[in-house]
Order: sequence, then C-alpha cells, then structure tokens
Amino acid sequence: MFKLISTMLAALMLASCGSTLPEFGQDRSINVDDKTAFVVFAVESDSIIESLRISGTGFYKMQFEPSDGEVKYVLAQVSPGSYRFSQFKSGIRDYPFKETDWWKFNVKAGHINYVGHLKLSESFVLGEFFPPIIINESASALIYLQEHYPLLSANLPVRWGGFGQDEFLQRVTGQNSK
Amino acid sequence: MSLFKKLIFMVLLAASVIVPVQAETNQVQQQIFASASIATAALNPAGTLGLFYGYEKSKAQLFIFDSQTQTSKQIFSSKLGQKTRIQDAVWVDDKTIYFRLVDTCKSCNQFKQFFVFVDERLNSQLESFNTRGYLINPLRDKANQLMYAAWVRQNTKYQLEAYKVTVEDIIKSRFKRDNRIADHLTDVRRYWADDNNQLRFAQSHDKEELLTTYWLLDEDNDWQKLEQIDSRFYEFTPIGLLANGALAVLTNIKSDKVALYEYNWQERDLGKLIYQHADYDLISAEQNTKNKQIDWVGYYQNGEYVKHYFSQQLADKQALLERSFAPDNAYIVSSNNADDKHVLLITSSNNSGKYYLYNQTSQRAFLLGAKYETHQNFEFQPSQTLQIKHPDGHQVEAYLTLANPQTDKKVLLVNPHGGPIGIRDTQHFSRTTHYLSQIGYSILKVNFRGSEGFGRAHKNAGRGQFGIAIEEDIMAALKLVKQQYQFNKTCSMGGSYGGYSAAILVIDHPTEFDCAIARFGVFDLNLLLNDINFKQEENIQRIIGEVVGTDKALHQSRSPVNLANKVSVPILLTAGLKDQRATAEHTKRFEYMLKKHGKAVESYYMPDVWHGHRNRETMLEEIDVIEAFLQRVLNH
Repeated sequence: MFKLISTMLAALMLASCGSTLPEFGQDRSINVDDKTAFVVFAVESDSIIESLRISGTGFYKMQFEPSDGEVKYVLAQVSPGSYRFSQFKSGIRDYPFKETDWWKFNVKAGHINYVGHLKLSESFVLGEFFPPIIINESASALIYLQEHYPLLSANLPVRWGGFGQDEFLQRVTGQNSK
Repeated sequence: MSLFKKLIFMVLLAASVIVPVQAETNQVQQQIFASASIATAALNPAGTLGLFYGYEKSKAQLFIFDSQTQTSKQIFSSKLGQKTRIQDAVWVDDKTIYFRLVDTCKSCNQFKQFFVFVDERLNSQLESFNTRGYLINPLRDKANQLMYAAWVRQNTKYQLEAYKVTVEDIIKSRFKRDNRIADHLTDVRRYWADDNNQLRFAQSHDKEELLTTYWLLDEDNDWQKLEQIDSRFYEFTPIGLLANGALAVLTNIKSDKVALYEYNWQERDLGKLIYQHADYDLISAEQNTKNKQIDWVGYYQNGEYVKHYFSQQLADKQALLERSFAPDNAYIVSSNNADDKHVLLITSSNNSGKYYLYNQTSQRAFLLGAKYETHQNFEFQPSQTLQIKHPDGHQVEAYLTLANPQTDKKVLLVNPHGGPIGIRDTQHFSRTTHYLSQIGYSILKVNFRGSEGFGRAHKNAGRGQFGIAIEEDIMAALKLVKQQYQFNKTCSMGGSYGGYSAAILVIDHPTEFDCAIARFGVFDLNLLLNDINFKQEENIQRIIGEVVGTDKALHQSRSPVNLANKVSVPILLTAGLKDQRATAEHTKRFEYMLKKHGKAVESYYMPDVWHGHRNRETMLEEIDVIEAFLQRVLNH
C-alpha cells in the first residue's frame, strides 16, 4: 500500500512539476544515435496562451509569451517514446485533455517527429467552451523546418508522429533523400 | 522623341487601355455582386400590410408597405459598416413582425432577434432580444400567441423545447414549464408545425448511432415515434395528417425516388403511394388547411423548381401566372389568409427576379421592385439543360450557360459542384455564373453521380468514386458540349469536392484542359481522415468513409498530391486558413508537390475564411484573383 501511494505521489509530483521543454537552439547538423529524437509542434491562438504540459516518457512544461495570434513553432530534443499533450492553459481557463488517442503522439529515434498544430479559438457557446484542437499541418511544418533548420532537416528524416496515420512527410522526405 | 519620352508615352497609352477595361470589369462585378435590394417580401395575415427587406451599401434595411396605396416606409436599418444579414422576417400577426439579424463579421456569426410593432399609418416600434431559439410558427390566427423553440438548460445540458408563449414572454426569456407545448423529448434538433399551424413534428438525433428519429404529436398531446432513419441514405419528411387520419410523408424508404406516400403512423407502416415523379425526387409539399388534402408537390425538373398541382383550380391559377410572366417562372412566395393577395417572385435562370404584389380578384399585379436593382441593365444569358445518357442506362443532367456574345472569350469553365454526395446544381440564377458569363466565360455544371435530386441509386453511385465515375460523368457532359459548341480553351474550376475534381480532371485529361482553379479542395484523400484530431472519432471516420470510400490504396492512387508530376497546365489553388472541412493543409501539400515537380502553380490563402465565404469582401477578393489568373494564363 505504501509503495502504491509513494508511486502515485511521485507520479503526481512529476506531473505537476516537470522540466521545461528543452528547445533546440541554432540550426546545426548533429550526430544521430538511437537516443536522439526531436519533436516539433506549433501553438496558435487568438487568446493568451499561458502554458502547455506534456506527459509520458518524459514530463515537460512550456510557458509562452503573449502573442498576437501568430504561429509559435516549438522544436525540442526529447527522449524517444510515447507522449501526450496533457494540459493547456489559456488566459481564461485550463483545458485538461481527456484520456483519448486524440492527444497522444509518438517520438521515434533518429527522426524529427512533427506532432501537429495545437490551435485554440476560445469561444463559449450554449454553456460550453470549445476545446483546443490539433490540426495536422505537415506541409507547413516541413516548410518551416526547411527554412529555419535546413541543416537539421537535411540530417534527419521528418515524420508524422501525431494521431492517426499519415505518410506524407515520410514520402516527401524519403524522396528528398534519394 | 527621346527614348525616355517614348517609354512614358507607351506606358500612358497602355494604362489608358488597361485602366478603363479593368474599371469596367470592376463595375460589372460590383453591380452583379451587389447585395439584394429586396431579399424577400411577405404579406400580413389580413393582406393590408406587407414587409420587404434588402440591403443598400451593405446596410440591412427592413421596410413595410401599404398594399392598397403601395406606399412604403423604412422601419429598420443596421449601422453603416456593420456587416449584417436579415433572416426569417415574418408577420407574427397583422401588426407584429419578427426577424433575426445575423452579424457576418469576419470572425463571428452571431445573431440578434427583433419584434417590430407597426400600425396602419406605418409607424413602428422596435424591440430587440437575445433569447436563444427560433420561431416555430407565428400562429397568425391567434392574437399574441406564438410557437417558439428555446434552448433551455436541463441539468448539465441545453435542450431544445417547444413553447406556446406571448411576444413579451419571448422578449423576457420567460419560458415556464406550463407553457411547454408537449412533454420533454431529448436531443431534439428541430420542431415544426403542419400547414394547419399545429405543432406536429419533431426531429431528434442520436449522435452515437447516427440515426435521425421523427416524432408526431398526436391529438392527445403525446409524442409518437415515427421512422428512425440514417438521413445520409434516406429521406423522411412528414407533411401533415390527411382527412383519412394517415400521415402524408415524402420519403424514399421503399423507393428509389423520394415520393409522396400515405403513412400509417399508429402501425409505423408506409401505405399508398400518392405521387411519384419518374425522374426526380420530390423535395416539398403543401397541405390544404381546409380539406386536409395535399395541394401540390415540388421538385427540380431540368434544374428549375416546379410544382405538380393536385387540384385543377390551383393548376389553372398557376398556369395563368406562368402565361402572364412567360418565359420566366412565377412563384407565389407569400399570401394573405384569404388567399386572394399574393407576393410573386418572377425569375428564371437569366433573371435574378422581380417581386410583384398580385391581387387575384382584380387580376392586377403591381411591381414591388427588383430583387437586385443593379442587375436591370444587364442582358444575362439563359442556361440550357443537357441530358447525357450513358450506355449502362444511367442519366446525368448538366446545365450550360454561354458567355455574353459581346465579350465571349471562347473559354469554357467546367465547374463541378462540392459534396460530392447529396449536393446538386440547379438553374437558379447564380451571380457567380452570370458574372463569369458577362466577362466572357461559358460555364458547364454537371449533376454527376452522387448528386441530390435524381434518386437514391444516382446519389449512392457517387460514393467512393472520387476521380473515377464522377469524373466520367463530367467528361461525358464536356464531350456533348464540345460537339455542339466550339471553344478555344477549357479550364476546370470548382470548390470543395469541385476543387478536387478540378485538379483530377487536368491530371487525367491533360489534352482536354488548359488550366485549373481548385478552391477549398481536398487533394490528399487519406488526409481527410487524419487532418484534425477530433476526426479520429469512430463515427466521423465512418461518415467520411461512406463518402470517400475506405480503400486507402485507391485513395493514395487517386490523390492529386501523389499525381502532381502529371499536371501539365497552370493551376491556381485557393484555400481558407480557418477551413476545418477541407483544411488548408490539403492545398499546401498539393502546392508543395507541384512546386517540387516544377509545375506552374499559384496559391491564394485567405486568413479569415472557413470552407467558403461568409462575407462579400473576401469572396470578391478571391474572384479578382481567379479572374487575373485566367487572364494571365489564357493570354486574353
């Protein structure tokens, strides 16, 4: 019983704290090993976004500066494994994400894993807030990576790691590498 | 003359030619796309007063008029610059009007509701309210009583409930349990009354099972369950209780075409067939309030809305109107309770419409005004119907609108509709079609397999036929047109499914087309199931699968993103960045692949646009882009 409670407490502490998501700095080529993996996603909202939490293989949190609705891309080096977006906090309220596959993503070693554009258009209709959604904008993400991280994206294949199945990035970057 | 002066002279000369042409085109565009001067008109129950509403410089305006003197007075106007649209303006009784005002600003779609109290001298007083709901029936024969459907919170959920209330109750959002018309039904999406002004029907929806249930309110005020159907495949529209106690319904649950049947609602059994058209689905019907028989049924024939009358008297009345306004069509859009005064809309494929006040007793019609005052100086081209019979027996209907002979560029735009399942084209006056025709383009629209209105088999034959049978129908129509008319250039142009079709047509038939305009399109068919996380829900996957099919390998082989190397003509892609139906990602992927293969592609992304336009400004901006593209790539 004690063991169970301590495990739950530890998990709770990890979930409530977590480390800051380590964003990748300036573009460069890197040596790839079986522990190297990148995640890329974007956050977009006409509301103020305060923070975002990611849980799974690792626990991460991100704080955001107020923006004017422009798209904020996040590229970070993380451990390969399974993750999910677990909480999104706007200036008005918290959006805890339900335990569905919709918010899960998978980060594969040796790849840049694009996991979606997280969008929040905050509106209140018939007593309910519209929740955030994740949109697969692979082409935009690929163009962003090729423009801002040409060395890294030439070095590592880009894949879709978000909900469902989508082979567009694999096909395109596979063709690139030929 | 120095070289510099020559250059200046040439630039000025070119400008003097280009600027007037451009200005003239812009003027034509402004006039054709101007908002309606009279969107619709209606008489009060006594027929003494009427209302009409329209727009001037984007300002919504509501007028009342005296039907004897024909004098009119403005009783409402929105603020200048406010982008609003009036909806559902009706007479609640002889002196009260109800209407909704929809705000169509770029990022919202909110509405307000109003009552206007008027007197014989055309004086008026306005009351606005924000109650969430809609008017079911004004109960025009009962003083200060209305049927209103309001969203009411029950536990944690909002439910739609039907009430019999006064105007004051609605304004003050006073919906008491005692005023509820019938017992509570859950998940109702719509209530409606029969033609005898009785709350009679409700429609509820089961989101899990994707089934729609129809309910009848019987004489004991109890809800009786009628049919439960999958509305993506079947139709079931209750009309009213007949004199023999059976319910008249429009349905196709036991036939290919939607037809008029008697329905035994106690036994839930479809009975006698009353009327069926051989080629077309019926879409509407009206019951006689006195003898409870069905007066008429409506359907689209050759793209025009027509009615079949069951009484000779009504058929004769309609024939008289048709003769009087030939070759245009005459539609009665409003009548007084005595049924001897009517508002008529006279329209056709090349007439955007005029409203008349018609006195049946004196057989005189007085012009209220044109639907679009700015259209009066144009001579629009009539559309013609083409019937394409396939060797396997199925028939496809298409509509051709030729270019204005004065400006004819000898260019045909093949314009597939969206959907592709359950949507259709008609010959109703279309401003976009006639604008394109006025500036020199001919337009072909095709009701390919999958289109609504031609029976269930025709509709279902389009499922999973993206880039296959649907485009066979379009090409068959194109072949027929080219046998009859000569064009120098042909381009494909469409939105949504039509955007996909525009792209796949030039991929599969490179020698038949000279350019493509693909708007709000889907270009990666597998992405349809994976573009937004909430589409992972099982039912959404099922709904999409039933339209596009489930063969992923086929989707891959029929997706323009994977066939970009086969595009050999210039292509314009347009998309709304807020579109969640065909996300802009489809367009970005296709553009990326086209560029990767060195193809001539132009793109235009609209930041505040969803799946199609909500306001005129963004629509006209897109039309400008399309027009400039056509001029550039076709060199005219």
